[in-house]
Amino acid sequence: MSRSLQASEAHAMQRAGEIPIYTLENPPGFEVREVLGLVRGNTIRARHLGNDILAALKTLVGGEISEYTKMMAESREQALDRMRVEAFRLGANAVVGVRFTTSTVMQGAAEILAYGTAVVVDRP
Amino acid sequence: MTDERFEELVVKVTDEVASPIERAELMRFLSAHPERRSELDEHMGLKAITDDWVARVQLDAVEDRFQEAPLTRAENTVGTTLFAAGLALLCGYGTWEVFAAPDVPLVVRIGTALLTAGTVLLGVSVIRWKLRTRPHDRYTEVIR
Repeated sequence: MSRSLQASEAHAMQRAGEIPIYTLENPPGFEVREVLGLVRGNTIRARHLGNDILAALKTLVGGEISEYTKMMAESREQALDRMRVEAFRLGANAVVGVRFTTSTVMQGAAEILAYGTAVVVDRP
Repeated sequence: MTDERFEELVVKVTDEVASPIERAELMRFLSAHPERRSELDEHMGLKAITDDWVARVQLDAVEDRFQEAPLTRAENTVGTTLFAAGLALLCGYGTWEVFAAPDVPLVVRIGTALLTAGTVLLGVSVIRWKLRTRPHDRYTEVIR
């Protein structure tokens, strides 16, 4: 990727971060002017071997497995950001009806898919 | 007593920041107007709930301090290093045994050599990928 493309990508990421996302289909006070379609972002992340060993040992004593809590949180944020970038590329200024889903592709990894509807809204 | 003053005293007593004089003032007022005691009880009940809630999330702060502690980091780093070194040593020894054993068929020797070379090559590739991407992976800063 050329430097200008990288800069453009970084700019898109930054602008995309400003796109608000809502779990509501019709947030109060917003009028949906245009529906641009489905947007989604997914990721699969894992922790390193040391954290996997720690997590396995923690199951012996019980309590929260913070190593995997962090892994899920990282995945959630990355999936949301990717969804935002896709919405930005479509020209949306909001994403509504956002949902999360997860599945198991490999043991000890977190797959998160975030999806929603990219829209152009008139803000009050 | 005005409603504003009553509210102020109720909040102060609930938050346990009222002076003895203010507390006595409120108690005198409630003795004279018992119908308004329920307002204080509601505030106290709400505080009990929120205090309990704060106690629940305090675990997160304890967890964060524990994870950031130098001893915890040292334990994790040394433990992971020892585990990886032990694993590499045992795998290496097992591989060497295959080569050193006189009665091992040639096809097993070749297969083991290819497997080892492939694993090492993929390992190098993964390490290169990690070193290249890690500085840009801002999601590692996410805690929960």
